Amino acid sequence: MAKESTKNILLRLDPELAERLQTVASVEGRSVSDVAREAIAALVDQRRQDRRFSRLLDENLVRHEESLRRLRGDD
Amino acid sequence: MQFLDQYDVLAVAARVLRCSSEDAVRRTNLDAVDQVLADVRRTSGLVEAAAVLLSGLIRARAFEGANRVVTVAVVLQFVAANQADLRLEPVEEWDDLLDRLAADSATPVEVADFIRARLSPDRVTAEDLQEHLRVELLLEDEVANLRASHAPGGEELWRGEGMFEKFSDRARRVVVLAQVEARQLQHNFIGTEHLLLGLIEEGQGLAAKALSGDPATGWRPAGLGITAPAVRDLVVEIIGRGAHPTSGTVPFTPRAKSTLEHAYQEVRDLGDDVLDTEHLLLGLLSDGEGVAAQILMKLGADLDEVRRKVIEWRGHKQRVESAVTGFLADDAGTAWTTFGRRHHLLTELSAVLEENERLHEQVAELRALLRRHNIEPDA
Repeated sequence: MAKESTKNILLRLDPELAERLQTVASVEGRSVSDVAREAIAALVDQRRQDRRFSRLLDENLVRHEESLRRLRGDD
Repeated sequence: MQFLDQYDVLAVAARVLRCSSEDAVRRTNLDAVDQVLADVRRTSGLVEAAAVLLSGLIRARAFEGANRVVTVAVVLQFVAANQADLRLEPVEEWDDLLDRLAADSATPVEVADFIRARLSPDRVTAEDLQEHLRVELLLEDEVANLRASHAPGGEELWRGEGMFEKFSDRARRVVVLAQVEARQLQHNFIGTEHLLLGLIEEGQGLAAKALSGDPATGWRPAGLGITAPAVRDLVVEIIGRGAHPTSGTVPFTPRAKSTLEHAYQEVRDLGDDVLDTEHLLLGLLSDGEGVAAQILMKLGADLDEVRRKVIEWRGHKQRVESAVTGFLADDAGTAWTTFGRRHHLLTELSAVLEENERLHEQVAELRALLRRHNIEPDA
């Protein structure tokens, strides 16, 4: 998929959070889904900075690097 | 079991795809991931959970452009978070399974068998821990004082290699996790608060169940609902974060050492052979003025109640272990093919027996409830 293209996503949010997202989107003149996507990306960034998580992931990918590289690609 | 959430999955995807988090979000079918993770949470054992995760993500084609490699990396991360590893060789067998999953022609049993045959527990040995903590160096200056101040039986505890020999794998992992917590908070010591976080983060031991189990669940014995983030927040509130990243060895505080001593005492008092997570927790509870105890009280726990709950869980665990031992004795002729298979079969058997025990307890409670309403359950 090209980077610029978008897809619809269903977000299950509690009403309070949905309202806050709506407010941020209105104030910034952006779509709710755009704000939501950015919020999710920020949380993913946070996880990537978690040292324990990153160390475990790095160890995994290094240990299995050769095997993962040889896995057949998607159809 | 440690489950992954959507952000974990996206972080793995971003790392494998070498893209930004935002790109990973764009390239991932979030609904599909959400659904698969919900399905995984409904499973009961690591094998089944990994099989559901693999099948779900492959079938949903959750990751645009590199679905197979990201899915396998996510499954690897999941099993690693649960102290296990997966063998990926020969890769051709994985390709074959992934083909059949994509074509929807592999059954759940086949996938589970495939995972089971390749899953091996990642054990933490005393030697690993020794190296990890560099305990000999750490305690070199302490040994003389402690030897002088403890009973003869306690001396051996602080003798470098002897220190962790009686620790179960889970108890060893707790100490490793405590060190990780200390480093993450940039603390240059391991205190009782880090041991408490280690006990919760370990996730599978009796102490973790007693501390962090959901109190609202219908299961008995119920946990106290104490979570690692809540404890971490209080650690920061009480002690704060360190100003600089921690390097080199991270020593135990005197109170943490005392906790380990008390844990050993609990092992002796309870007539056990191995120091497990419940003994560490009982050790923490014995020092009511330690930071861990303060945090537990701030979170609404009554220390005596926690102790009672741990003892309650321990009785429950012993009954399960006794049943498993009985099963093994009856099945002595079985040729276990690998340690990994045996380990996971035992884990799953324990889970089934635990559930059975809990169901019995629920039935007993329901019968008592009926009787309180003057209804004879067997009538």
